[in-house]
Amino acid sequence: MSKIGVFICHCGDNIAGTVDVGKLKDYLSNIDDLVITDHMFLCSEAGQEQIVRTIDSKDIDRVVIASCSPMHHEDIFQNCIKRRLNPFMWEMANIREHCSWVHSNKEEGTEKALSLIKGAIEKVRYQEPIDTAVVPIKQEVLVIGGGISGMHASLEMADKGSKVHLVERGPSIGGNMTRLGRTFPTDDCAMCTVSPIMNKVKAHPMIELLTLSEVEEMSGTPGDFKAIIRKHPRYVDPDRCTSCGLCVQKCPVTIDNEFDLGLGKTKAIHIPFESCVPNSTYIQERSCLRFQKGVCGICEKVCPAGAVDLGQKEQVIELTVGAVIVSTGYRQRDMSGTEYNMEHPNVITGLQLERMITPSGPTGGKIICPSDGRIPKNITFVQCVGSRDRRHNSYCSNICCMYTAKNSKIIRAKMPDANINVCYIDIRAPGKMYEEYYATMRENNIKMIMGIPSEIMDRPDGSLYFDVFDKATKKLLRVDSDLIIMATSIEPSSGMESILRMLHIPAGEEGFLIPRHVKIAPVDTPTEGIFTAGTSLGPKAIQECITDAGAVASRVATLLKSNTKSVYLDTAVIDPERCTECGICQRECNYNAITMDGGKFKVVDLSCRSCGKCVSICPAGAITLRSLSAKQIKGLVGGILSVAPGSVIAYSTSACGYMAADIAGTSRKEYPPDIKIIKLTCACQLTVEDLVDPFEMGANGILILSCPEALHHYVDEVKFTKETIGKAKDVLRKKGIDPDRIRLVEIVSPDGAKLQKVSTELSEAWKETAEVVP
Amino acid sequence: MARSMGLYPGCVTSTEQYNYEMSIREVLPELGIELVDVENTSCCGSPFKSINLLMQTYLSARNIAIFEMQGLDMYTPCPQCHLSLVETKNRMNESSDLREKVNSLLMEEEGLKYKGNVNIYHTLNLLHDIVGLDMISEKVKRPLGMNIACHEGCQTVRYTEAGRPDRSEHPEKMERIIRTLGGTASYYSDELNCCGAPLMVTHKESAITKAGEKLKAVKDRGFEAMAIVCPFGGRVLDSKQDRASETIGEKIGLPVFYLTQLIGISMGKDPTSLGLNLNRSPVGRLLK
Amino acid sequence: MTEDLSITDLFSMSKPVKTDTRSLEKQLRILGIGSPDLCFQCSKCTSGCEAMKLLELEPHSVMASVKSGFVQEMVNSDVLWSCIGCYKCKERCPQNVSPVEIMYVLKNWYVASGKPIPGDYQMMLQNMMTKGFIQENKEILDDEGISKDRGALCLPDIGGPQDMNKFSLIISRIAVEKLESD
Repeated sequence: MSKIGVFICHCGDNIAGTVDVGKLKDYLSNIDDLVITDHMFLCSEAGQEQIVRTIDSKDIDRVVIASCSPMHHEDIFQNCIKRRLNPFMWEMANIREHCSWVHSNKEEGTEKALSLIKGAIEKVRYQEPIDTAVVPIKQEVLVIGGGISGMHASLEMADKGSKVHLVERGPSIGGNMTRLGRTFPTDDCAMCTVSPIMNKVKAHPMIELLTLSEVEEMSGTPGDFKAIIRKHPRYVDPDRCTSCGLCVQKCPVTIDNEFDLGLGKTKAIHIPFESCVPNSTYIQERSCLRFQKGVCGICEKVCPAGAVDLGQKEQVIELTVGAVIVSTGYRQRDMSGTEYNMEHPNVITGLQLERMITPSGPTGGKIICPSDGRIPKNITFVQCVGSRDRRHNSYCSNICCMYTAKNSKIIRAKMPDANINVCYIDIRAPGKMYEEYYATMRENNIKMIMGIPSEIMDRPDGSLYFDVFDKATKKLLRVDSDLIIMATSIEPSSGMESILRMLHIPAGEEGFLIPRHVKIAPVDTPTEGIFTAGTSLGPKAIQECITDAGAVASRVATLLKSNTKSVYLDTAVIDPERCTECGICQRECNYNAITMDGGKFKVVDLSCRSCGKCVSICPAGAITLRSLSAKQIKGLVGGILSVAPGSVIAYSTSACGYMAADIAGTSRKEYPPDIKIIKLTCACQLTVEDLVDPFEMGANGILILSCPEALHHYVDEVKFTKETIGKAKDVLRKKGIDPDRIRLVEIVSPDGAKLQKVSTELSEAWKETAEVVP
Repeated sequence: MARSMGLYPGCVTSTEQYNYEMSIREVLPELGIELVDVENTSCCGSPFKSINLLMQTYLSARNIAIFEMQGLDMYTPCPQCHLSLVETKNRMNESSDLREKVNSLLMEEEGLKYKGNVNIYHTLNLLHDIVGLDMISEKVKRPLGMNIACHEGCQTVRYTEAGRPDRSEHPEKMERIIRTLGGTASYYSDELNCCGAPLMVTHKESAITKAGEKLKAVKDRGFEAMAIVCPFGGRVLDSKQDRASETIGEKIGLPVFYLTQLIGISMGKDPTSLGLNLNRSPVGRLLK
Repeated sequence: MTEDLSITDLFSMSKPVKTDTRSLEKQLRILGIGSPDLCFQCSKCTSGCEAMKLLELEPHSVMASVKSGFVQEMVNSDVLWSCIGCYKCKERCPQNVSPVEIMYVLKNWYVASGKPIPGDYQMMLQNMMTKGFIQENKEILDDEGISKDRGALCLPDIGGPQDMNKFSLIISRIAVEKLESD
């Protein structure tokens, strides 16, 4: 019969000072299938050699290391054990940070150490070897959205050697940047910056450009996603079109030019903008007489290059990719119907002003009043329109102060005699060279009004005015303005809706995508293999979009490193015999890690984060977390309670609760020894049984030390765990056990002091009535 | 089929703006609203917000309770009353502290009980949402044929959170009713400007100046008349129009009607029955 | 017991205290009125204030003073009584602050302190206590100069509260009732 090797470390007198190692060995020798040895410093080379030698000589198939916290030497011991056994066939009992360093009474410390070791033994007894699986990683990439972020990410990926499919729903790539005049803080011409990038994308042999295309359906798993793309007909062959413009001249249908955001007109067949890519015309089907009424077709007749093809059909393209990048960009909020009088023709948005500033725009670079084409003498910018406004979008749109600084200076240069006002709440200029940029604005005789108007009024003759209280001069000013530019709030583009639906990735309240971690994983989504860059995440300047795109390319490259990826199967697994196919696990998994495969629900090992939510939520109990199964938890708890009945079982998350206990240890904060820390990846995995059975096995109480709600290392960890606790409390009530004996405490990792305080209080409170189970 | 509605005129209509009340009593029954008079009512408390908000809450709550105990919905021609009643209803629902306090006071006054299950209407949403434009249109015999400025008034459209008869920016209901009556109406920038009436309590001159400014703005836009739905507003815009003219130094002479008076005119009713001979502004012009 | 905020206004030499702000917040909460905390001084309320042009009311400034603890100064300020109650400030505030309603509470404090109430309020209160409405039925002249009252116009009598004694008693009680328990 195989044995369990138990190795106890003295750690000098760090452990042996308070824990009687001899007594431990004595007691443990009563258990049949153990091989027990001790060592002064187990982590040393000599110690490790002892482990290997003992495994070899004693037919040991699993190991318990009773020493310090796994946070210290887990890798050392794992590498050592790996030399002989499956790397998961062992367990560490933390008898230093969680025992010898926090209990001064030797008897209590020894008993606790014994209980922790016993628990570890009973846990590892049920450990199954964990293998690796090899997952295919398809080498192609799908980029959704061809603006600056999508284009740059595509180029980076393509240069790294990946085949990229860039899907753009409009007739040209380039995004909002192609609409801009100049960019801050250098005042470079926007088109001069973005056009070469667009051309590079077109020319790159590794990028397949799909314009007028939309992703219709997504399925599959990370490394192996399947996308169905619907490519709408352009009705023009871009390879033949020479952009001569004859068709545009002849077309009888005039429409609003979408590119010019209502400031210009064009025809149903038109070139999106001069340097568009692909550089060809396209037909807006819904406005074209041929498609709406079955008549006309002049464009096809007159085209000298024979490029117009009214018979073009829609295409459906299937792609298989390893990773997906979402870069769907932004739009400006529609603020009509508000006090800002956006309906008035001379009240325009920031992007509309860009169209006027651009030399190639509908006004030839002249600033005019759209109502009658006259040159405005009085021009006002109003900031924070619909941003920082809880009635609309409560966030700050990041770039408006800077683009207003930019445009006001440009207008000043074009129109030296104009009156230019800016109404603002605060000026936000935090980036590189931004403050200096703001200074040059002040140097250019631009009047700064420290206040926001309540409403924009117009007179019977159509002239605009508003009243604003200027906090600086403490005067109520009536400002006459020929042209008013509103810095309207930046929102996710309308494409976001279908993205969320198809990819099942989460968005925040304002509609922007939520990254896996705001600080340290800013371009990953919670779903493995799906990344995001640019303004899909929130309003930001072009340089931040480029940074995002670079970061995302790096992340994709890591995933796509080779054709396969080796994944440890310490993830969740679904037992097909017990599965009732209700689908709750798939719906509830925050990481999209459960999929339908051959009619059965399966865990996607590459995506699984081992949070264990599925384990807890499955009504049939069909899911097991292979790194810590229900049987193992029961064994662990039972082992502890067999030595120390009346213990408080403290389930602790490895990122926060367990770390806090470690910190309590290193800072020698003493607390009652009946607290027994058990390590979990995430509190989500706790089932009702995990919270009820310990009482029947003799526990005095259950403490859950979890990550704080706001920090959640795992999406909605605290919320979900609280729900499970609620259910467990109902069960306890029925059994006549005080439901208050389960307590969830949110704790951050450095807070050893809180751990000391909370565990002392609860231990005492729960000791008072020791009769737990009637 | 007539719908019963308890009439809550409020202080200003019942003690001063008899003309508006007359037009309401003339016109609404023909539009299918049966008005029921209710006893034991009092001021809604709105004028006393600056004095004591608990008093305002109590006064509104007692009126709601009185109507509720008779099983009647409330209709008031005054948006100040309407806001105070609706706001009180919301506050009593949300704050148990407040509800307890007010309920104990109500119990003392002849065991009034407040449950808050009463619908509260104002002229504008009663006409637009309950009666409906179709019904109004059926009764039009003499299309108005005039360009009329709508003046909803501050408390008819604000504050949105409380639930108002029309929306706070670009309100449309009054315009639609005017068009249904055969007049023309369109949104104008100054539509949401305040008439200043509440200032009559503490700053009479300023109140009248504001009224004058509003009237002048309307006149400058070429409107031939003004329609209002607030008796408080009528006090300054109509009753004190001459004083307003003096204050701003310009003869205004703009006819100002309460909305139901205009409806009555389009129905072909006798002007005296609509109280038009009690309006101070030159309303006779419209009738020729 | 007052709590010094360690700020002194060097013009008036007044020192704001914490208890005032706390008391105010408590009352605001009971009445369901938002606290002034979120105000970030955009001055949109003052830009659109209907009482600003003629009477110089600056709602944003009142909010700032209250937030800084200068509550008593605001309570004793005349300009609050210029507020028309148009609710534009509350409607348009991007941070959901309600200057109009906070000013109502400040004016309530003024009245509760027993100081003389400006304008016609005293008379309106009097009328309310004796008749149930802010004024008695007026006589209105028609276009021929003939004075008309409700009866002459065939309008039904709208009497006030049936038990005026009880009614006015309760109103008097409310005048001294505290909104929040100390």
